[in-house]
Amino acid sequence: MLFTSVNYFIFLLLIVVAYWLIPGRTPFYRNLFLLIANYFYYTWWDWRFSFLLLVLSGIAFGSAILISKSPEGNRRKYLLIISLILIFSSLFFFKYYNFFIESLGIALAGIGFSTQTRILGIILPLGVSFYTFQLSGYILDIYWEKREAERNPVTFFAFSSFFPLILSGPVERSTNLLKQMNTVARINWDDIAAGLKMILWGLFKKLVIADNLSAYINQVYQGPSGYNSVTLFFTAMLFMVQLYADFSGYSDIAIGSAKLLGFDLIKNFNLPFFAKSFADFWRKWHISLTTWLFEYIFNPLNFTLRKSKKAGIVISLFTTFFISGLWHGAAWTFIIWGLLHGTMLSVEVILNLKKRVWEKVTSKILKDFISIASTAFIFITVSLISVFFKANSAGDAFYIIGKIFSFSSGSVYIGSSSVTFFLNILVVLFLLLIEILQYRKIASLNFSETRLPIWIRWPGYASLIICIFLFGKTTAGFIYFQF
Amino acid sequence: MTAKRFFNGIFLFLILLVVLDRISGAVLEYGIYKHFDLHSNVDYLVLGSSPATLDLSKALLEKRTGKKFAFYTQLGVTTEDRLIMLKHFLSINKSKLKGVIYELTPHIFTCKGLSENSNQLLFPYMNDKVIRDYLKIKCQSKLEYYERVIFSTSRFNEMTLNFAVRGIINDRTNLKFGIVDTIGLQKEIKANNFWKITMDTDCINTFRNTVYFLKQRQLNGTFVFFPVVHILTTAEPEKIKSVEQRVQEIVKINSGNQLLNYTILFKDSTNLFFDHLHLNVDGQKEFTLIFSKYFIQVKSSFNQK
Amino acid sequence: MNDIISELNPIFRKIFNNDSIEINDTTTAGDIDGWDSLTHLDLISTIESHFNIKFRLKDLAKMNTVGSMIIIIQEKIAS
Repeated sequence: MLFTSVNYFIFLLLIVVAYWLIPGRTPFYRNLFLLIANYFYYTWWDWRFSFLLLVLSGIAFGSAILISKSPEGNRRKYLLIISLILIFSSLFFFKYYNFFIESLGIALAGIGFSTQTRILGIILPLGVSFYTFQLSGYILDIYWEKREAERNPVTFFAFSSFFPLILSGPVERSTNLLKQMNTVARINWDDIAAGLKMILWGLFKKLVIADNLSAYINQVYQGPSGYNSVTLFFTAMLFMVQLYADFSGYSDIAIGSAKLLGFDLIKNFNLPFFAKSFADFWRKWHISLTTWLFEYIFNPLNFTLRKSKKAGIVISLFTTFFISGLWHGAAWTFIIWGLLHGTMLSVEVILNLKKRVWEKVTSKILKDFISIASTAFIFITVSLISVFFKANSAGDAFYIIGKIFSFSSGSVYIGSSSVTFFLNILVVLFLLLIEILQYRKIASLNFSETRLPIWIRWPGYASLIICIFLFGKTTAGFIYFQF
Repeated sequence: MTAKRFFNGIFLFLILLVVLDRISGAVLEYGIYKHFDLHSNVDYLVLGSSPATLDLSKALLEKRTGKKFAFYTQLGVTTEDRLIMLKHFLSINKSKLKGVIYELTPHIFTCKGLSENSNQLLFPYMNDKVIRDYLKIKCQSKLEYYERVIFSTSRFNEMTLNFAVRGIINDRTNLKFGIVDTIGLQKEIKANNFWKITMDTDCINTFRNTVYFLKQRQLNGTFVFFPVVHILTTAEPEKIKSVEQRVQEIVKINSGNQLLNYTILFKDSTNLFFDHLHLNVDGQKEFTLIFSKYFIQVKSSFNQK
Repeated sequence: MNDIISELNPIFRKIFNNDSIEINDTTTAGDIDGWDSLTHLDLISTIESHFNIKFRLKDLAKMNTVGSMIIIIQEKIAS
């Protein structure tokens, strides 16, 4: 049941109606119902996945209670370490085992040992990267006493398997979603309306924008040597838009679906293409993962290294983004991608341009100019880095970057059909238009309120639906399902 | 917001959606009918897939022959789809059609793997009873079928939308620029990695039915093998021969039918091909001139009927 | 309590480079320009050396306001 399939929406409708019909004197029965719905949804993909999720949730549930009962000291610390090892070892096995064995084989061969490595035919359980992070975050929350351990298994297992976010996040926190599951919500029709609008916008971004851009981008990345530098540069930027439309589209559908059930999930994107610095970009891009990484990896590490000042920050940044790269995929391309972002952020911290330049500029025109120029600079740089995210191999990525900077002449490749190319440009411009409206606060991010009059909004929503009918014929999965 | 207000809003919105959907659907339907000349009174119908679309220039053909042609040609349509398209066309154009030009290629009886695509090509004409009845049986998912019954814009996909828009803006050119990569093709043939010719019984039967159907409607057919790049004809010569023989046998059912074989017409001019099955802009012009010349010569035999 | 505030205020002014800062119990990160995760750590380690105390990571999670920060500082000084 892909978020873009008719089946999903039939499922969602039935769940939402039944959920609100269950009397909500206590949250218990609704959570129990959610729990069943969650596992039904996840089992639809593969029952073996559900089994893994059940076991990992059980480990987190049990160890959290044990940790909260233990006084300060070694026992508490060991409990934490053991439970984290248990959770991450499954992630390691499913996601990294083959990569690790292969790299080891190559490394050993490099120093003269020939080995017989065995690659296992492992399938990656959908969403495992997301829920192992969510579960380990919960255990750390308990360890750091950010909240009490959840004693009610129904509430906890419903939290850890919540169907809108099980496949690709947002990576939720116990301090947000679990807390909401302990309270009884009353149906709020404004939220339902907002949820529906978010789902619609998410579907549009995924089906009309991302999926229509993908054909062109995939074609270029299949054989990058056949294209000139302008085309490769253009494609890099286009991929950034595709990735954003794909993943923020997914996130909007997830967040909108949860809203229909009365839950407010973490925001996952906040107009990242309007970022004015790399730090700003990461505050706006895949927020649930970035904040997770900062909360559970960067901050503790940086805190430990706080005496080393800027060196400590740089070390922590590199570690965090190395892990982020590795999290995205067991491949060198992702690791390089992470390290490049780590480099950019470190440079930013060391230069500290914000304090040294930005705050000293007083002229309004100059301020506007710097602001536009830095927005463009960030978008272009992030797009170039994302070549590593998309390319088939690190070699391909270096080739593409090299060719872009060779500034070879030629015009942009139009693709197999000029009509399709024109349509692609049109949808990207439309996305930009909506985002400008959101940036200028004329339309709100979660569509709850807007300053646009009804005679623009309603035909607008109807047109979005019609566009989905016209262009949304693909059955392509979401990019982030591979992680 | 109260529940009442919410549901009133949903209800009003759905009405607005349906109205907008019907209007857009009607505009697109107009466009696609216009693109394929389905409503115009023409003398001849060209029925086929992409070779007929790309290898013949409608404007040039009409100018040379002084006759009107409708091009009901869509990418990848099987013999089965063509029969439905033919019935569809005749259900709206009963009057003065003089004959049908039926496109053939060595792959005419190779139809495995094309059927999925062809439903999508026929959905836009769902308002027509012939097409609707056909799709109702052929559509595997009832959900898919009824979604398209309810929402008329959902009947279009990227390709059919493209046709509709071109119909509206009256863009009739089908030009491909570039020359076939014969070296690459040769490699593919060597590696045994190319689209193999097969002879599927279902396809042959449907083709025979089409010929009977035309005879019953007292329409003569001109069956035309379109040019293929020569390397490909040398890859499976036996199979091509047996396809040609089978076609010949079936076409003979009606003595008014004619069979033209241009498969190796351009065997020495690779530069006229865009890829191995389609001509480029130069090839289109050349082939249209050759075809119109033939057409003028035998026009009298058509008119005898 | 007030003693600690009056000792903290100059530290805040120095870290955030703003002489108009006046902190109180309810001041949060949102009230002060430039109070982000990086300057926060700068602030923490300056406070540590000023009062000669050591925070733990757990303490950090609890510092939502200047008030809660002061309570933790008091606990540390007392022990």
